[in-house]
Amino acid sequence: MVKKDRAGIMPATQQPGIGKTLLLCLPMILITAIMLSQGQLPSDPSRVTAFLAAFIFINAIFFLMIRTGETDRWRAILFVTYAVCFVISFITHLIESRGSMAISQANMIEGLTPFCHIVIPMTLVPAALTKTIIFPGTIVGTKTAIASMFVLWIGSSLALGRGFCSWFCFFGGLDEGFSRLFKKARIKKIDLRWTYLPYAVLLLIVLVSAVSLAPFYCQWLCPFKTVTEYPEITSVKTALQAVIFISLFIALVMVLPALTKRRMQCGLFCPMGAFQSFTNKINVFEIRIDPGKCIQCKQCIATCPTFSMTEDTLAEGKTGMTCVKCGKCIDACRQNAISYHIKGTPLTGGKEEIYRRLFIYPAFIFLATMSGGYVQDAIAKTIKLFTTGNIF
Amino acid sequence: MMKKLKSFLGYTWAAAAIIIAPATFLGHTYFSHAIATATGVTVHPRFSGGGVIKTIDHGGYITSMHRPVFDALFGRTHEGFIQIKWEPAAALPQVITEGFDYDGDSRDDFMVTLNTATGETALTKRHPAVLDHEKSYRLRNGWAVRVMLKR
Repeated sequence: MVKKDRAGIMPATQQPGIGKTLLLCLPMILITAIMLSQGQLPSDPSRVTAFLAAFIFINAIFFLMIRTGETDRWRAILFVTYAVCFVISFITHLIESRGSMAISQANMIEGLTPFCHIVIPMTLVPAALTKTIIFPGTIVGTKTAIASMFVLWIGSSLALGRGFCSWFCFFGGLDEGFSRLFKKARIKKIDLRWTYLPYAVLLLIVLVSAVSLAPFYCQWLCPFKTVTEYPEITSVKTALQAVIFISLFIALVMVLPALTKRRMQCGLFCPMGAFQSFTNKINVFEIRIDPGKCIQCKQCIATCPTFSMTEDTLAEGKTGMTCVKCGKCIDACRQNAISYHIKGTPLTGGKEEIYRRLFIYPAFIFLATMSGGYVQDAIAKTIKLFTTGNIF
Repeated sequence: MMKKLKSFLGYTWAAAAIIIAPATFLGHTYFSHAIATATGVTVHPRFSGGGVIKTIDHGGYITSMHRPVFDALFGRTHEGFIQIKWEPAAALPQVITEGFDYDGDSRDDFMVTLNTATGETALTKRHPAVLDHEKSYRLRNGWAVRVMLKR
């Protein structure tokens, strides 16, 4: 069989054959089997079907990543599916357990609010000064408890840096999904000064949350409240909060990403993304540009979803600190001038594919494990809806 | 030499990332408890209501009085609240009337009357620091009331 070089992927001579690809996928097959089944197969037939479907789908994605040498193309499919399934699973679970997506004051007193990673930056100052977490959840005991989310965040930050935003975050896929709706961007020129906005939002929410001892972003600015849970509307204040959540979701997660083909919420608003950018400074994985191969076509600048590639960073041969390591620029570069790289190791020597694989193994374990449960649950609930007419 | 060391450390971290990823999930329960124990953090009393300082056993049901919450980032706020909780729900009488002494002077500082069928709540103030009742909350297994206080 004759292998063809395709734009933006590894040369045909470096592409592994089917056998080698399967061998390289074997560790992931084993790990996903353990993670998705959590050690035992479900007894309910719809759950077994959902498990098998999710297992095959996730491993097919990884197989294609290894076989084709393309990262973002396949990652994006799973990442968007993950976000959609998260929303389906989360909302149905809330309605099943609480009867509504709205969270009441009584739920908050009882610590029944699931903790989300976006709250993390707001909790650090009060935690350091008062040894308390300013969130109406529980510290341990559930998957969505505060300490659980801290563990996941620390682990993923150590392994991926801001790759967290493209391989872990259950909200990022919504933004990304809408950014891929149209073939061409309707808005092409975006003033790069907007890229400072997430840092301003981060500073604002950290300070206001510390002073008010309440998670300000969750109370007033989170667009994702629209598709998860929101405070029960009992007053003008809570009604106003709901209006803000829905408006921000429509603008930042739906309309602007669709018009610009960029992840506008992630790149220009999300305070957790800004916070996570600092972890890129210490994380070992990065994206590098080979100046010898680069022909300055600037396709990478045009495609970067989080504005992490600019003419300045291109001249330096690397991405900005906001890089989410999605691999879109690598897939888009027709000269194969962009690649994953491990800090401290030589830039030359033809080890690009080794570096890429060393990155995508841990990154994919996070994505597969995080998405696996939600994908299974969403499939099982969809099967139930079609067979019984009831999703619960 | 330095280049080789940097390269070695780079590869080591990259290889460690492959271990860290599954370990994060497999050791998740252990690490969560370890973090909670090591840091000693708790949920802020504004949300949890603070620690329980007194419980009264009425035979069928229990009343819990939490500590007054005036916690601020630095020092204490001028206004705060005290949370009272009754449980279990199944054993609660339709109307509860109970007095509370939160400052320890052996005299009731306020009295709460709660209708557990409707949630209707009335507060009788007997201390100038008692302001008003915030709201009554139907919990999964009982009721809670927060009474606003000033220092």
